[in-house]
Amino acid sequence: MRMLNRGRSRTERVRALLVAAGAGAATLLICTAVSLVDTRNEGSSLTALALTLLALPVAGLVHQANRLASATRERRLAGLRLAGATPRDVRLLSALEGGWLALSGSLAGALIYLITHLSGPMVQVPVVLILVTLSGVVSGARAGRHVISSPLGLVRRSRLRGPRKTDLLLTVAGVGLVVLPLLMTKGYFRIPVPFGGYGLAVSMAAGLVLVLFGVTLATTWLIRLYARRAGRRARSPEMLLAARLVEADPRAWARALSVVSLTVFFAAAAGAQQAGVGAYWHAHALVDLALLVALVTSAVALVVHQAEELIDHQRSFAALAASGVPERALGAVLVRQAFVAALPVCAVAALVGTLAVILPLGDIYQVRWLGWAGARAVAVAGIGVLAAVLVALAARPLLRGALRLDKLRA
Amino acid sequence: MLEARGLVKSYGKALALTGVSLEIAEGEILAITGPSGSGKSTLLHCLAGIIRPESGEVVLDGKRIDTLAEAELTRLRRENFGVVFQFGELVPELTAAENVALPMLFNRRDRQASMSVAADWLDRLGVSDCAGQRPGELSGGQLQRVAVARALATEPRVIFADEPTGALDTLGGEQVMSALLGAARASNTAVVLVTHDNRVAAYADREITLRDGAVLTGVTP
Repeated sequence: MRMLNRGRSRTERVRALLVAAGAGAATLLICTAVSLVDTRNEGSSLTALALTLLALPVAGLVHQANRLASATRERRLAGLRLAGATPRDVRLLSALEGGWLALSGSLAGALIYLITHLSGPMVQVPVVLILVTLSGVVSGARAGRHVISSPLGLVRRSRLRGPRKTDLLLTVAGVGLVVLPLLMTKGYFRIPVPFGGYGLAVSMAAGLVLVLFGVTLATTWLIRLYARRAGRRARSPEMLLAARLVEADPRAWARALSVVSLTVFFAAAAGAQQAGVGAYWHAHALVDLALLVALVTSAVALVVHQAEELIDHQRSFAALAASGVPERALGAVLVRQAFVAALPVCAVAALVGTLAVILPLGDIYQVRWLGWAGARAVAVAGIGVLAAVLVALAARPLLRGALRLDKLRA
Repeated sequence: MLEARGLVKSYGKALALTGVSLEIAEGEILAITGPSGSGKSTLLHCLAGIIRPESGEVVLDGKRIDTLAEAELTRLRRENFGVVFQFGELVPELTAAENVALPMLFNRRDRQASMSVAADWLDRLGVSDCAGQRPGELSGGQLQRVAVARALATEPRVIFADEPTGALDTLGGEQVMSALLGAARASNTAVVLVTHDNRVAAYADREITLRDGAVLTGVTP
């Protein structure tokens, strides 16, 4: 740890502060959410759900800050490799750093909760503290996973290309965990659900989490499919280049867009639900606020992704610029990349989110509510795509830096 | 056709060019040689309008290009110049044919026509069987020949080649040089070649040697 901390730049100190602050905020939000859970009061539980939703983007922010750090730490990590550290040692150092920062922030968050909730429940505090710290460790380890620092000091980004079948398996397993206990309760298998109602709840919750992660990862397939089609039909060089770049690395886009797609999913679902339920407007407004914050935070993930994309392509982009391709055209490539990746993801997320509410309600969902639900789905999908495109537009100053010719002199 | 007059360029306190002047005629093959750090690449980049000199002039057909606005300079580079880098610098996600077609597409030519011209150039450079492959699947020599095809496909007036054989073995280097110069001579395209390899310089019509940012000698092999 001491070795890793030595020679920290100002950027890295800011990043460390972001990680700690994010961990603190997440701890405070989750502790407060747990204290509000009340099965007899639907409004209070909805508020708890909104607070938990707010904690998700904050956790995403912590992870993105860790990922951003891996780019700025590359030189020092390479130095450690040169000094004899194995890749595992380097990864361990990243994990420890992530965990330490998360623990410091989480302790501060827990302290604020304890001061502000002196008469409230306390039992959840140590559990949340441990979970947030562990998340920091995992995030730190994963953030350094894509950076291989060789003993020669050269640093390359190892890229995960293409979709994997395990992504789909995760979804199938999740659906199984949701559907099987439901069928058991209806007597299809003549076997009771283990641990009764409690077992059903745990299985469904675990299943839903798996489905969410699985569907998020499975968007890799969707992105590649759409990018391939867009590349085949491309009329402009900007679209051709954008589609091919996305097609070559759909997994990175799926990861970067995961928070956007989840936000669109929840926003569409919330819209479909709000269409039929008039009460609890304050809780609905809080849910919408949480989703808005999630969308803004997801922009951080996209900025990090754009920065990584530019690092990966700076040599070929600089060569194109040297050959007379205008910077404006390469900026348009970034925008089209974001569009090609975000459009199918947001469209499907909005559709699935809406159907996830409408289908289970079946007969009781009234046809007149469909207009509002559909309009909201289209709007949130559009907002998701727009957010991705706006981030790409905002990344143009980074592009200018990547096009410097000295990038070719290595 | 292309002329440098008293070019001066520095990086911080290090002086890379100290008043270099030279002239390149239509269709001429010029080799710029010299030890590392002598200013070869800086001179090439100044001539190609990629970087601007601090003083001096770069003139194309009697018109100064170093004072052009960035957008104009970019268009001039796209329409008149082709660049070949030491490591090819193709876009890894595109096929060889798409890489060659890309500059034409940026010149707003039709995709089908661009792909057809790209196929023709790949054929002329003996790499037509690589058309559907991506740069990662090509050998160093094949990759560099695709890069040459990309530079030639827009029918530029000057090709700037920065150590085009620097990453290749002797045979691969010879193949690339033959392909580049054969195609350039056939289309009367001038070539400015930066190299520290005397065997590569021997292909040129004329050779100049730089040392410490100044022209040391100018010889005709």
